[in-house]
Amino acid sequence: MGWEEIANGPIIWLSGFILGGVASLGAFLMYRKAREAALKMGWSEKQIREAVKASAITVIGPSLGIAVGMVALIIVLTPGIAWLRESAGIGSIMYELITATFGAAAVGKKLGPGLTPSDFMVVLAAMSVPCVVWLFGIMAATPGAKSLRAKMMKKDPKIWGLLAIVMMLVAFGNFWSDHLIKGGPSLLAGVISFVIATILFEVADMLKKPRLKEYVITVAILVAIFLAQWIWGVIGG
Amino acid sequence: MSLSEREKEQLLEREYYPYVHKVGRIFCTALIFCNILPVILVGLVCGLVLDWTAALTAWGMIAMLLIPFYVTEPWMYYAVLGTAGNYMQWAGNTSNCRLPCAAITQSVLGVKEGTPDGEIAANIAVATSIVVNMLIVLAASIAGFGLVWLAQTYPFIKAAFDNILPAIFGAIYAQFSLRNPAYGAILLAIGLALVWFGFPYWQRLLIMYVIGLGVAFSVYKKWKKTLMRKE
Repeated sequence: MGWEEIANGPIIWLSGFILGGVASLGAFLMYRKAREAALKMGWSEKQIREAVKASAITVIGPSLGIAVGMVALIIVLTPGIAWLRESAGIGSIMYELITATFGAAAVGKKLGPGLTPSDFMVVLAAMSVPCVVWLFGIMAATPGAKSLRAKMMKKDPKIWGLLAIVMMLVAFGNFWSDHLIKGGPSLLAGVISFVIATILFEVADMLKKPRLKEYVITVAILVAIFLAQWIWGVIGG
Repeated sequence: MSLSEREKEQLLEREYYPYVHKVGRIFCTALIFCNILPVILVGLVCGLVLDWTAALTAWGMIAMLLIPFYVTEPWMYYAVLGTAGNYMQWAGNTSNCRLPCAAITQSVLGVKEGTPDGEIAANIAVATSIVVNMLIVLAASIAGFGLVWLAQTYPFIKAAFDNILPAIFGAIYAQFSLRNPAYGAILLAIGLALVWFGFPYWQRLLIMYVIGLGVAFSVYKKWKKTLMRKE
C-alpha cells in the first residue's frame, strides 16, 4: 500500500470526522448554554436567530477562501489529509504546508510521490502534534484572561473597550502589513477590501440597518480579490 | 423582562461560566487526543512504526517557528471572542473566520465586546461559524480533485483566491479602525514600517503592543480620552 492510499483512506477520513465531530459537539454545547443564558437575560428568539444568521453569512467568504486554498493541500497530500487538517486542525493552509514540509525534510525527502508509508507517518505526526500545544495554551490562558477582564471592568469599564480595539488593531495591523508590503495584487486586494468594507459599514450605520453588516465581510472579500486580480492583469502585472 | 448589566453578569457567573470552563477544558483535552489519534490509528492498522528521531526533529523545527504564536494566540483574541469563543479556538482558523464572525455579530446586534451580551453573541457566532465552516470544508474535500481541476482550468480563479488573506485582513481592519480611526492609522503605519525594516513577526507584535497599549493608556490616563469614534 502506497502512502497516498493511506492518506486518502478510511482511517484518515474517519479521523477527520471524529476531529470535526468532537469540535462541533463542543460548539453545540457552548451554543446551547449561550442560548439558555440569552433567554434568561431577556433576549428574544429573533435576536438569537439573528446572531446565528449574521455569523453564518459572515463565515461564507473566509470559508470559500479556505476551500480554494485547500487545492494546494489536496494536490500535495490528497483530499483525505485536507479534510483531516481543515475539519478542526489549526486550519491555516500555510501552517499545514509548512509543518508537512518540515515532516518530509526530517526524513530527508520532499512532499510528493517519493515518500514511503513510514515517511508519511512522520509527515502526519509533524502536522498533527504541534497544534496540541495550542490547545494547552488555550486551556491555560482563558480562565486568567477572564479574571483580568473582570478586574479591569470593575475599575473602569471604558478601558476594556479601548483595550479590545487596540489589541485587535495590533493583531490585524501586523498581519495585514505583511501582505500590503508585498505590493502587486496582494496590496490591491487588501486596499480595495478595506475601502469597500469601510464604505459598506458606514452606509449600514447611516441607514440604521445593522443587518447589512452581515454581508460586508463576504462582499468586500469577493469583490476585492477578483477586482484586484483583474486590475493587476490590465496594468500588466 | 430584561436584566440590568450587573444582574446579567451575576447570572453568567452563577450559571454560565462554570459550565463554559468545564466544557472548554473537556473538549480541549478531547481534541488533544483526537489530533494524535490518526497517527496512532495509521500505526496500528497499517502496522507502521513512527520514526521518533525524525518526528522529534520535525517537531523541534516547527516549535522554533511557532513559539511566538503559541505564546500570543491563546489570549490575544480574548477581548472580542470572550470566554466560550476563546475556548472554541479549538477548531482553528481564528483570525480569518472566528474573529470576524464574532465581531460582526456583536455589531449587528448592537452589543459591546466584554459585556455579558457581547460574550453571548460571540459564543453563538463562533459556534455557528465552526459548523458552517466545517460543512464547506467537507464539501470542498469531497469535491477534491474537481476543485483542483477548476483551479487548473481557470487559473484566474486560483490567482484571485491567492489574494484572499490580505482581503480578509483589510475588511477586518476596516471594521476595527472605524471604531478608532486615530489608533487604526497609527498602528498600521507602525506595522508597515516594522515590516519594511524586516522585523520578524514576534518582534513586531511586541513593539506594536507596547506602543499601542502604552499610548492608549497614557492618553486615557492624562486626558480621559479613548479617541473612540463609536464607544
